[in-house]
Amino acid sequence: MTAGEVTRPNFPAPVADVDSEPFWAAAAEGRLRVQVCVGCERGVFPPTPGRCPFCGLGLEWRYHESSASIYSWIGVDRAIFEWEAGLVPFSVVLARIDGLPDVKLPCLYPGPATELKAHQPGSVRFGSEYGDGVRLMFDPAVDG
Amino acid sequence: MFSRARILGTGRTPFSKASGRSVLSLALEATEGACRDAGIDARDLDGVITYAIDDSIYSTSVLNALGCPDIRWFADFNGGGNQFLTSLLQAAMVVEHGLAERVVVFRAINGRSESRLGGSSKSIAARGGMQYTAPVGWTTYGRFDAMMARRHMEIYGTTTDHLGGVAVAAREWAVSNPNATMRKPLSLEDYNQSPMISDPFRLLDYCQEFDCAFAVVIGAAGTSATPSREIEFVSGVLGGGPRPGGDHWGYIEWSEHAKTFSHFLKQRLYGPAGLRSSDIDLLYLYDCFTFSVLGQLEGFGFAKPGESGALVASGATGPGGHVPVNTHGGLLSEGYGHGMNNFVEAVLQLRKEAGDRQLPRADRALVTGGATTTGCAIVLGAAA
Ligand SMILES: [Zn+2]
Repeated sequence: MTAGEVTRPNFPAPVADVDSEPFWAAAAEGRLRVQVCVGCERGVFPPTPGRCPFCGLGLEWRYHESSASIYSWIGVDRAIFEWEAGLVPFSVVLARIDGLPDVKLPCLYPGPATELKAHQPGSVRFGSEYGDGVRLMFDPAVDG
Repeated sequence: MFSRARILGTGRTPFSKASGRSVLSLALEATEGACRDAGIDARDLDGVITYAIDDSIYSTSVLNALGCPDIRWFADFNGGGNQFLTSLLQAAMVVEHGLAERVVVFRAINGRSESRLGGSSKSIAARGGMQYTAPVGWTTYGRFDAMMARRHMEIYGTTTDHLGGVAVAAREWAVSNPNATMRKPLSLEDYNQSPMISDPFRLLDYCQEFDCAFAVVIGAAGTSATPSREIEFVSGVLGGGPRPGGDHWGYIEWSEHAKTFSHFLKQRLYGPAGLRSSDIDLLYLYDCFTFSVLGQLEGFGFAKPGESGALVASGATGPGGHVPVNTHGGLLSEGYGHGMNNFVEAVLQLRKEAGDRQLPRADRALVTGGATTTGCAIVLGAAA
């Protein structure tokens, strides 16, 4: 990377696999779909071909509301890869889905880390503005 | 914990930015050095273990090059800091059970000039655990550990000055270590002026990669040239907590990011051996990043949850402190030997061969490997 030579952000596209296909298929339609245990009702992410890791019963795919809050976050102030240089400074948010506290979703936030705070409410969505495919974005609530 | 297995010798190359040598050449220099240190013939090695993340050579290439006639054990761990001590623990088990007699554990990398773990590649395949992280920019180990550090800061009020305290203490030790790559005194002000990389991590929260190799020979008690220099294994455990992630990059589902693997290893490490944290004279905590030290000080019982930052700020972990951590400067200031240089320093101190930086109380040392969800911990003891 040369200083001054800023490229358009082009983050890698997620490569779905057999286990994650339902998640990404729903994502392409803009909907959040995660696995939830039929017994203990806890959410499980990332997708798994196995049983519920908390109680051992089965999992089913459920669509879920997108409201969430910030569990933790980092700022990226220095780019390592060319595809991210054009967006620096940006943040990565680990967002906890309301009602499914075991589900923590890594999301992109296109602003500096100093704009965010712990437990900040907001919502997750799937966006395509920063590279091929869709990726999880975190939108802070307006009055967050 | 082992009646037979002992550490017989250690070897190393210098750290360099461009070795101009093959990884095998570095590995051979370290291995031959460890054999010389032990006073054994390198051709008598009959076991070899290494660990790598697609950045080094196959284990047997070293015994092949040395012409060792009788190979009884070899293993190649696919892992980083969380597997470095596993290699040493496995070598000890192999010797303890008589499966091999003299096993060398090595780590050799052109980590600066060829393959940087911190990430400099042009592309990343967003597959496996990375399909959820790479598309949103959550790449590289530093960004993973920064996420844990932030969580700790928000829960406990840990500050960036606390992180900086770890870097400052490491440098205070390194100043008197001729092997260290960074010996210029460092103040908290210097730390705070270093560039922000992965907020909350600044440049000085990271260790620096180098070309280097380290080797440790483990064999049966009494078989080195000087048995009084042999080091014992007092305790050793490997593991992690629930939901540690499924691959090198999957730390999404970890139950609480303010805690590290160390919390889940403490009881097994100390209990069966009848140890308490106060029995440990020296700590060699895996310190690829500053936060890794804070998390482990709490997990291994040297500070209550949330109090590690204040402990470090008090000077307790630096020269003259009562919880000496990484007395050579660690990965942060001696250089990134992927954990092996921390182990080598522990052996040196326990043998009372650390020269100017030798500490008077040096009979039990805790060495750890790992920073996030899984790892290993070993308590070493000076020869009885
Ligand atoms: Zn369940």
